[in-house]
Amino acid sequence: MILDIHTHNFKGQADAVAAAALAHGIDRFLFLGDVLRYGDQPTKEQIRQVNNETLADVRRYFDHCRGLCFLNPDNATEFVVEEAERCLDMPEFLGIKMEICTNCRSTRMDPIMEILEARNAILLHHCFYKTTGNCRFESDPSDIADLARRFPRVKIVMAHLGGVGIQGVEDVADCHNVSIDSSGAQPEAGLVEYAVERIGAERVVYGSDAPCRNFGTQMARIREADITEAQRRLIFSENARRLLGW
Amino acid sequence: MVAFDVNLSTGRWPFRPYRLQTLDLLVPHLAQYGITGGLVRSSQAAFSSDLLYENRELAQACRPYNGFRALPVVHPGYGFWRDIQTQAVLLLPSFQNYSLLDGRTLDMARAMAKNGHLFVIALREEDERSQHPRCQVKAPTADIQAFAEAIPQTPVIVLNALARECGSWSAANVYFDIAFYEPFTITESLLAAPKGRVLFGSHAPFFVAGAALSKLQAGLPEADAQAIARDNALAILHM
Repeated sequence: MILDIHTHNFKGQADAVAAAALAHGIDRFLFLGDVLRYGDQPTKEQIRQVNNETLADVRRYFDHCRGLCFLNPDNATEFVVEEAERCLDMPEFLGIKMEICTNCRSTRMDPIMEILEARNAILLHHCFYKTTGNCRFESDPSDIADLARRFPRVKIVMAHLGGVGIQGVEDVADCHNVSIDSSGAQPEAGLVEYAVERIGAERVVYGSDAPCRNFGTQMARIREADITEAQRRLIFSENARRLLGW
Repeated sequence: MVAFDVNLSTGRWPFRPYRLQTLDLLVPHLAQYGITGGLVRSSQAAFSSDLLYENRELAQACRPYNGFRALPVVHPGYGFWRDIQTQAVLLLPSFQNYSLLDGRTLDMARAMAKNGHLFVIALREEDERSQHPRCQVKAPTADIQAFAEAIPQTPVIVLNALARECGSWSAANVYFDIAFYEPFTITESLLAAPKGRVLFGSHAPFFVAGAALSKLQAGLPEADAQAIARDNALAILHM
């Protein structure tokens, strides 16, 4: 069993992503939505459109697929809460995805985190350390650690081990409610091993970021990692299944 | 599938250690994937001022491993390029702070091309976003085309190029590897690439070797996969 916690159903590409996932032996995958289509400040209408498209895409592949609800915390709080509740009431959605609309240190995250805590659902949050400079509201691992400490009972998946690197692992090492997905950038050797050593295999989950990336390449990070077969199983599926209850 | 890897390194990269950074560990690892030979460069040479030393160390490190050829670095400001014996030589213009289009660089390139050498250029070693904040090296992507046009009969192998960069070089003597090449529709993209100009490169030990191989195993016809895995490289290296 392989579960990919990080794929995107960009407009017109959901079928290709689903077909490729299945062809690569990925039994289950999450669609995280077309989260960059409207830039870093999508309106509430655009947010709802993205989520409705995710809903439709998930329904076509419901035997293998679930989705995450995409939100912009800077939209009116009333709408953010309503949209989160609307999506999470449906079996197609297992949590919430955050991209780069709001830095996650913002208190505008609080109503969303309270909903996630009440529902025991996950937050999968984009994250990167960029020497070349993060986007204006983009969160880095120190921001994720701040959020995780404020909401220690919410299950957070910090995206992009390949983008946060060793420093990112260290930033969240003592935040036991934070897992890290393996996606992000090229298949750099040694990062999975470092994360397993420092935070434990139970807190690392496989994600590809397809179609931004290629399934085969991203799976190779896990397949080739110098870890035990039991740890590989945890990363490829068991951790994500536990987090998602799926 | 048997592969010849044009994109291998050995030695200590200054910014982090890699588990397989010595050839006694790397070569057996690569053998598991059918990678039985390759061009090996020195990780340390990128930031070293003593390139002669780095080249000697590299040659010594490669000597026990049949099929794995040392790829010495040359620099237009270091006169030993005139004495280099190997067919393929490495250029690291961004790391060593010169331009591919400087008159001195082009003079060296033309002279070496005349003597039958070919050039390997490491465009980058890391994702630019992950470089050390005090050591950001910009890939000389824009200079590749003009450099290749200056030596039109000589292969110029560009390592670690992104897919969108590969599409920007029309010169028929530019070859590129697949280590950083990762479009979602990888098979279609490789089939559309200029025949004979795509080479197998894993960028091990920086990257996991199996990642590059997976790109050839996602539905590419066997003949095309074998050409990229080995035959294209052997043809230009006259092996």
